[in-house]
Amino acid sequence: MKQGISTVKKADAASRADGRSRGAATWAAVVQHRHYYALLLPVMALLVLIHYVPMAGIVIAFKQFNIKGGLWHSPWVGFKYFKQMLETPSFLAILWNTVRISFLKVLFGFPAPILFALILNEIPGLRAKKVFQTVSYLPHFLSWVVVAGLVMSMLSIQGPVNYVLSLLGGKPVIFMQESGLFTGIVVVSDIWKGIGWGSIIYLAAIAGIDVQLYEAAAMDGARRLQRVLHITLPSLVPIIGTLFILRMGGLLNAGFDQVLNLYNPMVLDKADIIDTYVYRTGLVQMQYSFSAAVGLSKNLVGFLMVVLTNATVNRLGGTTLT
Amino acid sequence: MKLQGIVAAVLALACMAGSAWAAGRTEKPSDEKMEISLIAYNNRGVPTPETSRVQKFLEDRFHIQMKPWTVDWNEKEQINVRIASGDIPDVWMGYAFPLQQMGAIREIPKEALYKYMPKYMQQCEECGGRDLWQSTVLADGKNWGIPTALSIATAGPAIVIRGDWMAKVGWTKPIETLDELESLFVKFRNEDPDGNNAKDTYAYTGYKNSSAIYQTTFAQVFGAYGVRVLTWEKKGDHIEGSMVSPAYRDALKRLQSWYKKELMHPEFAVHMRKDIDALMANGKVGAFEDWSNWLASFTTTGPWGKITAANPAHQPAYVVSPSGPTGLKGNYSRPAAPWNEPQVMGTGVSDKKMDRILQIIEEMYADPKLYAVMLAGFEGEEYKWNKDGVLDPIPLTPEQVKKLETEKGPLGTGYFRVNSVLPSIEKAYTTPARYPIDNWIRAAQTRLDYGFTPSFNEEQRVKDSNLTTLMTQFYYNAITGKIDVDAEWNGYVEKWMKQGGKELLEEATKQYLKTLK
Amino acid sequence: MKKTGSWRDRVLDGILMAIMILFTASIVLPFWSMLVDSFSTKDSVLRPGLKLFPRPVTVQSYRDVFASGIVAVGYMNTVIRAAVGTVLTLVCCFAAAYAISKPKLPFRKTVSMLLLITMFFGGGLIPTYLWFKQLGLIGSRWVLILPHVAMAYYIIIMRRFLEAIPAEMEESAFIDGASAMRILFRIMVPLSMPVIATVGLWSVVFHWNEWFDAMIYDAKTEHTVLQLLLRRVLIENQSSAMLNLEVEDEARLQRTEEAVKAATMFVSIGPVILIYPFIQKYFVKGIMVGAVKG
Repeated sequence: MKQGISTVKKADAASRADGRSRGAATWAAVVQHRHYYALLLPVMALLVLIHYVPMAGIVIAFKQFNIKGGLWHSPWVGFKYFKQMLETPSFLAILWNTVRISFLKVLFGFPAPILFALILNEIPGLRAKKVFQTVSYLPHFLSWVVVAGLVMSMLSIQGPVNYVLSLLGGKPVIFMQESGLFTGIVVVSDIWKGIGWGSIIYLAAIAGIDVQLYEAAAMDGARRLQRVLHITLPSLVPIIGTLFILRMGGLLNAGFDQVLNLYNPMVLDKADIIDTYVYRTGLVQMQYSFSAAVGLSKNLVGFLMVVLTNATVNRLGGTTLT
Repeated sequence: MKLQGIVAAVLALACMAGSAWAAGRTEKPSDEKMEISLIAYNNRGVPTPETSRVQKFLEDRFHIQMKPWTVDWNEKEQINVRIASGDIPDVWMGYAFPLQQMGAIREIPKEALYKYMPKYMQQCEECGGRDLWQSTVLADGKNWGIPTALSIATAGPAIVIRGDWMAKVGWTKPIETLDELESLFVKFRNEDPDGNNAKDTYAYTGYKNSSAIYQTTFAQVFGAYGVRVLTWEKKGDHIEGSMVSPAYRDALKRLQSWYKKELMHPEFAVHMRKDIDALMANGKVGAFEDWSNWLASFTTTGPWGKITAANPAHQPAYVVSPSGPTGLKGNYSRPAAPWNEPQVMGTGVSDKKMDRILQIIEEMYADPKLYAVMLAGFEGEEYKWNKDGVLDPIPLTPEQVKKLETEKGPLGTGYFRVNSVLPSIEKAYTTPARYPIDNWIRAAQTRLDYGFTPSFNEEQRVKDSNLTTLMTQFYYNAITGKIDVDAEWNGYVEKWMKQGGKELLEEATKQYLKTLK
Repeated sequence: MKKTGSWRDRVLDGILMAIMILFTASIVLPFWSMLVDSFSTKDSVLRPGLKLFPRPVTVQSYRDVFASGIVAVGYMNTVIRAAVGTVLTLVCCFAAAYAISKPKLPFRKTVSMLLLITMFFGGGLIPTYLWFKQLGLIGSRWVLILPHVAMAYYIIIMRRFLEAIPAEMEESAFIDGASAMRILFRIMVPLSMPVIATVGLWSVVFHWNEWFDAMIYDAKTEHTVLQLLLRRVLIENQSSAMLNLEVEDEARLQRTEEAVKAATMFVSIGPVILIYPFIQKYFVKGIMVGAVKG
């Protein structure tokens, strides 16, 4: 390896005089790494075949799609559908709802599985650990139809929450009708549903920590909390960083399925997100160009967020995605 | 013996010769079976099989070759993607606007409709009136589908009230005014009709349905103010929007007062449709408004079935079109269903094929027995006819259905099914429990003139959708008392007008005046 | 590692246990309630309050789910796509992750960027469908598998885990003259079992739950997957005989029998829960294999 580095460096220096040897050096490196390229080949082939070829069809967002013209010969309408989306009367409110819900989900929902993994790791007794862990991810398998039903019956007038409230002397509250509470309900229920499943990746990371590190620390007199902070947590940092960057890419995805099942006309002002608005108004009934425009916009924002977050994390000393 | 044998043999030979001769006669070389591809519509939740008994029956009857798509029509995305990729059936149900925009369907001229489907169109006009063309005629003035009409829904929704609760609070007279209804509801709330010494009963409830708030839940109340929610109302020489009319405001205020008096379940805006069943079964609400098919089920197999079974004196009461404070009354009915898809035909369909398809549907809708086969299967197996001539389904368990399928082959239903229910076949469509309720409602209700439905272009449709959101929020905030209706009214109307309502009203008026000529 | 616990540690243990128990209870209760529902009759399922036991007990809902007989086919098709899909995905993604985890790989940044882009941009439904049609994938089992093999998300995460493995692990083998492939399989895979198990789990669960792509790209009856079948069961079991189309979708679809809904949930989730204990060992207490030899 060391030899490889100096070869490249020498070639670099030389190439300032002759551009061609830089290319030759790169080619040499490629040849040297050919086995790795072989490993990369299946994925790259599939990327092109499955993902990149159809990507060209993204032009559909800029066209008035009709069957005869297909993707390539349908009339070009430019930004018509993007404008249509932006000119929605409540567009700013909808956008703000989307960003607000998403952001709070990241703020509270991102750390939650990490915390859960740390706590689970500290539970004494392997059997207890296993049981807790197995039960924890079960809600991930429930559809939002079911979970929304659970949430609504918990929060209903005759539900347990209001019961406790009445015991404490308060008046019954119709939680689901209060716009101000909606975001909180969405965030909390999302955490409940996803915390167990989301913690698995962190548990996997913890499982890779050398047990000897803990033993050494214990012998040095480190207490429980110190061990967690100085051994467990630091080993999670790379994966946390990566997952955080990727999570930021979902900024405009506030959770369509969840919101659709939880919201009702009373809370529309705070609950309507981009996806539910588009769905409810039936604007995507076979309107492929419009839904493509909306999708492209959301994805563009997501991608920019990832690039931005990546650069920031990189600057802060973390690893980069690329 | 021998003589008999000879006679039998001769007769047999004669028969065979005769039938061969007859067969030769009918099988002319030009007699090809027309091939028609289509999507079938049924609620069985299974994809249409490649061939089926009903399909065979229809093929023989109409002398055609059917090529049904082996899809489940509930899986719309699948169907739509195939169509968008150019794989288009000859006839199916779909929304005319986006399909025409995509270039998937062909025009169906009105002349052809009247020529090949005279009885169908005549009945449609009687039921649907001028609203008939709302889902098939587009902004270009051409007709792109077979219009639909629902005679059965000319019986609009009605309120059903628990019989035993009425007995408990001592209410015996029929309900004819809105005030009477309110008095009964007050009793339901305050007089402990379920006898459990707890004030846990509500009179009424609804459920969240943001996309169709004009349907039910409070249709009778709005009707008592002469309003049908979300309608472009015909007012002589122009169109007004019902959702910004003073009568609508008054109705909202009335409903708000009901909410404040706790007559309605406080969570009516939050409930999902399935919660209604639980509420009814557990004695939490005493009345509910819905379409007759649901009403029938509530009181037979549904949540209140046991009540009527336990005591025939506790029949549920139905209320429709109670009169309001100014004497107005009315019931919502939607004889042409704007959200259901009309029958459309693919771009590849020739005129000859189109005519044939129209003929087939005309025949289907003229003959209830034929319609019943298409809809439900075979008499004696899936259903029988009761004494009123109404189709009475024979309840089959899933195992029995499976058994029939393995023995005789798949059943298959819903071919060429159009989203219309017309008087000629109504009895085949309804159920024995629903039929008397429908008739009663039709007789007792006062039908509100169902307004006008304009054909908007793309930009206008988008505006229309956005206005619905605005309207929905105001509707719910008003009823639950979140806002002061009087104080907020003018602001709401202004906003509605500014966000496109004004433009839509002008367009609707323009189109309406054209129809008057 | 049992030390004579300080009381502080024991209190902490107690608190953590309490938290876990509360959280677990919040999950067990509704699941138990649903289990009870799945064994209840259509009437008793509507009774209010927390149900501890079905009264009366009936398996009718499960019979309804299995009545059509093709649930077995659904299971088989789902197992096929989950098994083949996951194996292919793990092999391809892990290999790719290993390759791009090498800092000196030329064009590494480009490859990463290409991967990242696929996470955000795609042609959408129509372009993808048209292209798959051209490739002849429509109606083939492979259309349910191939699009999910090159997953940027999995590759990025696996790469992260691989980067955390100290270079010494490889270098000894490298010096011994082992090829990239050999190192990959003999050394990297065993060291990466936790992340491989995680990604494998994600992939299996994805295939298990996925029905939309099956509905759009491969609707052949012989290929129907479990979730699609169960969705159809739910539609079939709407309360009150509904030949009627006049009632619009939202209201109609919401009235599926609660008991059948619960039963379908357990039919769908059951196998995953049964398999899980076998891979749990990779997450709950895994040990770093050995040390650097030689």
